[in-house]
Amino acid sequence: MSMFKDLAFRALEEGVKHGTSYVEVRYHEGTATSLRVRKGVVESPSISDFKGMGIRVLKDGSWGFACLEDLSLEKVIEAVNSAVKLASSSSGWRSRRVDIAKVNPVKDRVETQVIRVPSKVPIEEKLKMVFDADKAIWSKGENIIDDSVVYADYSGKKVFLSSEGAAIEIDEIRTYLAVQVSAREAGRVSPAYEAMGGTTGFELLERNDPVKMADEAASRAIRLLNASVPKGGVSTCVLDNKILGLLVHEALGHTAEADFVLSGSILAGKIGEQVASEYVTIVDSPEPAGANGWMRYDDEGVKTKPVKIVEKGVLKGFMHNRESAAVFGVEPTGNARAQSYSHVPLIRMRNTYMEAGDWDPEEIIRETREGFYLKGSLGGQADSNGEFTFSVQEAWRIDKGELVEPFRGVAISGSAVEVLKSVDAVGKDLKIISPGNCGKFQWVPVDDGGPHIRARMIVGGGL
Amino acid sequence: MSEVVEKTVKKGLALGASEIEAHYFIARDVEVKIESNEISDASLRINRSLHIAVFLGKRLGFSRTTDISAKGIENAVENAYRLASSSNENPLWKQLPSPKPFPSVKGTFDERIYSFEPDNAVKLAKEMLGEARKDSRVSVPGGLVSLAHSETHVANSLGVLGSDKGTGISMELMAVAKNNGEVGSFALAWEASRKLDLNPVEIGREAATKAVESLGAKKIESFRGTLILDYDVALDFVSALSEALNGEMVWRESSPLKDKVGQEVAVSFFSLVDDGTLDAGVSTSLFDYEGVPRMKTMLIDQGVLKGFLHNTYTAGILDVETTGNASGFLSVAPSNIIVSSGDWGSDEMVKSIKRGLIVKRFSGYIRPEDGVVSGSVKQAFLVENGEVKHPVKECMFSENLYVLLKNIVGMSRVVKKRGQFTVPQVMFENVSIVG
Repeated sequence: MSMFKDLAFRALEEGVKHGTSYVEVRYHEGTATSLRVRKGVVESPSISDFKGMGIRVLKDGSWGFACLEDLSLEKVIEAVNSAVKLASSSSGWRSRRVDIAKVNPVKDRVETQVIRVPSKVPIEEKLKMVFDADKAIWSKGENIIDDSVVYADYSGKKVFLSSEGAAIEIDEIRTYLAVQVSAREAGRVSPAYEAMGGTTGFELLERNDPVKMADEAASRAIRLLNASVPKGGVSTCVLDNKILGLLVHEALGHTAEADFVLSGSILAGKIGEQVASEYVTIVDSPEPAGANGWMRYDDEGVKTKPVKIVEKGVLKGFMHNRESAAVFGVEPTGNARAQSYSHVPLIRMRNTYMEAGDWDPEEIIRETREGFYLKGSLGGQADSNGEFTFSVQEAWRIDKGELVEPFRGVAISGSAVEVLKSVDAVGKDLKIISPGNCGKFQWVPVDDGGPHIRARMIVGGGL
Repeated sequence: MSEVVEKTVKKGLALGASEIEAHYFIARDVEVKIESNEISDASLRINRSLHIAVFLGKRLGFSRTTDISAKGIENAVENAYRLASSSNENPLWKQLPSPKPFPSVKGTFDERIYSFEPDNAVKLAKEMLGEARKDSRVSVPGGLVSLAHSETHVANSLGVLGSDKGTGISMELMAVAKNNGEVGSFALAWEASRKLDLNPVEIGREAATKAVESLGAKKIESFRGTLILDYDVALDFVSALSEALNGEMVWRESSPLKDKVGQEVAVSFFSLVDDGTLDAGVSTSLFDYEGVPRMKTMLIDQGVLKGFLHNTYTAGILDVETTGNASGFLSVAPSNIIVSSGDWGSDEMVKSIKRGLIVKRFSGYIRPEDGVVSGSVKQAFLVENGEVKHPVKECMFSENLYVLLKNIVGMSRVVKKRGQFTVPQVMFENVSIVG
């Protein structure tokens, strides 16, 4: 490790020689284990290790970046020079010079606090847990046609050095378990998905029973086989923590990333305006510890802080890196994240959620005359204008406050702002429980969530 | 560099593996990104990765490393070996492929890309951006120019040994037009090639034209009518179909096409081929991930399903031959997918429509497991009595992919290469469009 740290310092020295205004070097090494079991068989157990370095320079108001895995001094110096050359050649083409907001360079060391380091848990113990979960799924009967139980862990080290004097070392540990089930009957396919994990050790899987999670997913897939498909139309919907999390992240969160704002997202120029009902407060936060998007420093070495995007319905702020913060004249928020040393940091979310309100979640359903209760998500899409289409795992029709009929294959759509403006009940039960990877050109681990809420949107059937 | 894979195989056999496979990939790519009407950054990436699969009878272990020093290789082989030792038997595993002669392929390597100066990529990006911005209504939220060259080496303990190299370039630009307070819908233009033959000006112009033509969109009432899928949307549908033709989905019993070989699954003028040897194809190569020669596989012939895409694993499970479509450890992916052309001119299609839509972008999902198509139509235009009337505001449609395949009423004579897919425009009748 110290050898590579020295190399990173050498790269930094080389970078500042060439008339650059800023240089950052990121060294990154890590090991990831993944165990996937399907129907009693370990299909693709894998261990991946990597080491690499990324160098970014700012010269004549333009960025240049180079990365490599061949960590010999000669190749690293070559890469630094390539980054400088790329910056120089782009600078002639820019109309606006890149400026970066000032920050206090930090020297620090951060470690993920865990109880059981996953890399020290024997493979046999991990496999047993995955097998047990897989067994629970197939014990549900012949309607189950496919499954996948994936255990994954990661441990890695990052070193961040900058020409401003920052020197940050981060030790990161992550543990995950995800279950996917498909059930079928008479040509109808019913999928179910559950996942847990984040910046946590193996204790996560001791506190939350993987078998129970697998059992719930399989039961749901089967239960929904005979559910009917609702008629389309605008309806009152009660959203659970997970589908709300997806809405907050995909449909609103992305439009509040400052780079998207600069490209003309729906929230551009709307700071101070009402973009949601008064019950809605939405935050992107580096906390809580253990969440999938937990982080102390971002990949520009900036100390992370929470961003209140919407407060009581009013648009308050955007997520920034140093470049966008300079453009907006605000402080960077610590949202610059890179998938690895091989990627340039971009403005990304961390843990994005709606804050709790004062309704009892059950009361929201009880107080709903007619509508749908929507639980869990199976993914979806949203545009930079906030228009979204999401696939819901499970839906129930609400009639006079009672859940009366299950539905499958439900999709919801609408415009994030319109939907959030229609929110009239927000539950007390804030949960951040949807670890996932967000793919905006690069993959980074994020989390999202919120309480139960009620709003109006288009519910689509026929799926 | 093939010594890296040879050394790895030797190491694995010495350790006691019954079979071992090694795959080494090296790439150098230059990427220039456009963001908010500016060239935002320029990057050079030099990446490498060694993949190792170790087999102890029917027990499998897999590892990956970026460290190709003797110690790095040894460590990675041991990791794979350790995993195989801890795994249980995979009864579906048969054996690694044996060596077979590789095909000859053309147009996969362009010296001009190989020796490309990174700075020149910046010029291409500038030309593309400059052209799109000629129209003051158009702004460019994002874009990308990427030039890459790569080398692949593969070896296994049954004697497979291969080395291949290739080049590629891709360009994409997203544009949005604004006029008198109205914001049009996002328009994307993109191209990919193995040769330095893309025209950045044309791509910039296409994105800008698409963005501007979506201005003035009007809401429409729901109706049933004809739908023309433009090339990029036809690609979305063909891409979902190619997933259902993937041997992985077939043996996992999640493809609805699994028992339909020999049956009609599409109209008689629809054929679909996977061709890993296509001249200058984006996914053309000498061999697949396992070192099996690339080949041409007829998947749907005049509407009749002929077979599926396989690697040695899925082929072994279903007792057929591999089609040279291994894309990773145990995984399968299409190479170049080519759909047959039809006999309609694009104008003739439009003229034949009483009431319908031309769709240039689709945002939603097409689920290969059951064919469910659900999502929003973007960049769509209303056609009435044979004439394009106006762009329409977002509307939705829900259909089934497998039903649609049997209801195609026409395909265009002109097919277009969109990355690894070659597709025509496709026309369906009696589709329900929800305004």
